[in-house]
Amino acid sequence: MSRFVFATGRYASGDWDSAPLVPANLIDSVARYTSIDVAPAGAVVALDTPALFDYPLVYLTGHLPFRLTERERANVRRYLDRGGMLFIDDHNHDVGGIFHRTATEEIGRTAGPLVDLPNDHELYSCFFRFPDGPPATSHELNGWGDNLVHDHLQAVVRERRILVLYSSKDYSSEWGYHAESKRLQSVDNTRFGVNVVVYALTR
Amino acid sequence: MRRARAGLAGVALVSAAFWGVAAAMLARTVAGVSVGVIAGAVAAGLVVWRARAVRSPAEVALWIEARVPALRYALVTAIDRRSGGTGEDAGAGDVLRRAVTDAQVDLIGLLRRAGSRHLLPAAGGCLAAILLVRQVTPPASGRHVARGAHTLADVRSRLSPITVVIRPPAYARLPARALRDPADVAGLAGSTVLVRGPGVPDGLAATFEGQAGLPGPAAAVGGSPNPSGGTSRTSRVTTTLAVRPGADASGTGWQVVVGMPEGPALLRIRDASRAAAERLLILAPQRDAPPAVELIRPSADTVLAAATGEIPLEAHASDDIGLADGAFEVIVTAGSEESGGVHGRVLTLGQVQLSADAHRREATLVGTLRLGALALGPGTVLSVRAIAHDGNAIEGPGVGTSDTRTIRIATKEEADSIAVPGAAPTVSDRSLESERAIVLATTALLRRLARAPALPKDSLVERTRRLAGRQDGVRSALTGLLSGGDEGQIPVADALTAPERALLDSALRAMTDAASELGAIAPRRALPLEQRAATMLDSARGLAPRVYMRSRPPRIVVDVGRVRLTGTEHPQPGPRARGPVPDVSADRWLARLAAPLAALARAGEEGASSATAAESALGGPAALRAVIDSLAVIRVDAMAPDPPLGAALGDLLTAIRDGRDARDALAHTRTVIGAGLEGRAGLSEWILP
Repeated sequence: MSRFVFATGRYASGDWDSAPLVPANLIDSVARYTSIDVAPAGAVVALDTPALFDYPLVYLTGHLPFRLTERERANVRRYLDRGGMLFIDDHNHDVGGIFHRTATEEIGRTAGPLVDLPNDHELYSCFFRFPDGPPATSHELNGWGDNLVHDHLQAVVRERRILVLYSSKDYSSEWGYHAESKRLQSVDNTRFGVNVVVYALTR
Repeated sequence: MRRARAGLAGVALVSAAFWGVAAAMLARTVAGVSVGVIAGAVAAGLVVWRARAVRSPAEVALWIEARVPALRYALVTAIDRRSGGTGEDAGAGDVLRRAVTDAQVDLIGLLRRAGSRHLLPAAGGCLAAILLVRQVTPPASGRHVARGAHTLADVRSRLSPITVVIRPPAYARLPARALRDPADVAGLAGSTVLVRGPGVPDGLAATFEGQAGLPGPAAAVGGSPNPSGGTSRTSRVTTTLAVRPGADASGTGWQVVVGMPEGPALLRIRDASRAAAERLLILAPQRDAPPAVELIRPSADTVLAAATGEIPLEAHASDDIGLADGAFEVIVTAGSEESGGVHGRVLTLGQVQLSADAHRREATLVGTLRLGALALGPGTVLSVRAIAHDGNAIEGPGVGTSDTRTIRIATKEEADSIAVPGAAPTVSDRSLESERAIVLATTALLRRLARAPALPKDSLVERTRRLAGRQDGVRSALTGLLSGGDEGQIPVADALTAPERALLDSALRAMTDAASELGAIAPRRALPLEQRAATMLDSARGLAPRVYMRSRPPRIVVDVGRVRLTGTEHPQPGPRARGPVPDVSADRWLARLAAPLAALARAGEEGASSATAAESALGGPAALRAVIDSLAVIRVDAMAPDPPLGAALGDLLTAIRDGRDARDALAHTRTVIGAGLEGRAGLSEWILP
């Protein structure tokens, strides 16, 4: 079995690398809590290259308009058809912002319609248990930004499998810190990221 | 005499009419309207021809004399004298009247008896024909006809031939098409499909079997499907349709109206008056593709030093049916997360309405992006794309978009229009900048050499060799780039296109030659080579399709071994649900195809080389028809999820229906399923005529 490499997707538009600390933080968490053989460094993969198929889970984020070229779109469709999973997070903490609008449109064109993921979905219990659904971020709770807790994540689901997991909760900001700082937290807020990885690798 | 002739002629004509009607009805039932008309005319003509004697007074007189012997040929004699023209005509009429009066001839009684003798059989024959025709055709209304009670109905079915008229939706502005006796009906989704056939509609039933979750058959038609008749069956929904009277060329007929659905479907028409009489039509919708849009200008991403001037916009849009409108969309985003968030606004430029031009399938969109009017600040990003809509009023409108070009206004901190903050320039950019620097340094050296006092030889050698070293360094960096060397995690060499690589190869050769010339202390010969290398690098950059906003994130390596020892959280995973069913589509299709293919093989093994032989091998025509219909049903189910399999089954069905060798089509079907080929001796022999 090959080693799991956490991949960040690079797309043509927008700032795909807006959360450079998230991969290392999630790699740290996967190593900390699971026995998954995880690579110590993440990888950056362009969405229009065959290298995309080397990674079972690809993380995408950004603040700016999210749009794919025709080549990226076709490659991503094949990737999803063949079992890949995208985790797309809106790095803005706003409601109906430019990333959200363009990303949801692009996901619809590329993978299919997004639906609300029920909060009892196995994504929330496949490793750590999140009985209330997706954990809220500090931006949602402290009133900074949209001052609104998003009740659900959204997803494109095909035959009970999540193809695209879409978040408006700005986990990219929430998890964007050096892993060494985890010791200062009473509860590690990246635990949900572990669930995303475990779900992608086991479903 | 005139009255007698007129009466006999009338009897003949009425009799001819009866026989003509009887013959026409029987012939029409058997062979159609035109044959019926001809048969009726021939029958009536025969009767009239047989009664041609009524034209002759002598023949009529003889007919009367034969029935009234008391006349003693007085009547015939009088007729002869009249027709002889002997000058005694005036008295002949009186003689004739006296003879008739003296013999007490009952002319009315004679004619009545003649009428009874000829008209009764004719009317009886006509009545019998009417009863027979009514017996062998379905009842006029509301009566159910028992199966298998007819003989003539077997000769001419109401399910063949049929005519299918496809009327595309109004937005397409396409003409209607008529198909005669088709098996497949292809048309734009939302088209109105009108199926017409011969005979009366009573006893016919039509059902629509479509995919669950898609709009039903009445979406675009004025027909009246019976929603209450809908039943779920696996993933298909069945809806009962109304079969209505519809005049065909003969003034009779039935018709069914159904809307072309968005997914493949079956239209099943059954004739209750005939055992196992059923007709399947495959409704194969053609999807209206969204417009294709290509953004021609701007042709690449760019970074501008200042937000001034105008940027021309140009795009090309095309559609398979017709365009409705097009425009450029510009998203202006500014700000950052640290400064209160990223804010965006959407602008629409150069909007044009194209629907007024009927069937305009291609259009060029033009516009101008006036940067000064947008009041853009440093760091603002413009995302430009072209959008076109088609006129699809059924499923759409279809939306086509071009790729997005990014135009960024440089910040004050940026050194030039190429560098992007937060990351070092790429190797190719560094090479270009270094090559430019070498060109500038060589030019300065040559200027110095042209000035007095002369540059000392040692100084010339030292400066020239230093330039040679710099040139060699740039060449090494470019060599590393072309050989797939280290560019972090980005596979630069793999991403190069052939023209880019050719330009970079040329630059590399020029750099190598320039380094050699500089090493030989020949800066004047090196300068054109350096300039050529810089030009090649610049051209390669121009070909690059995109300059990414940033280059690469910092590479952070996690000490996994150490981290594994520090975990403090203990997971509480929930019970695992069973995962998705593995894709066994090949097995599923093969299982469904097993029965019809086995039947075909059985027919082949029994040496069936004709339709009759195949039917008898399978147990009758109904069995062969069932095999074909089974394949048709499987094809409908396969068309949406597996279009190649749907097409392969279509070829197979066409081959069987056309009586061609089905081996290739069958082999192709199995190949498409991914099941490989399976040798079947019978199938290899089986050819329908």
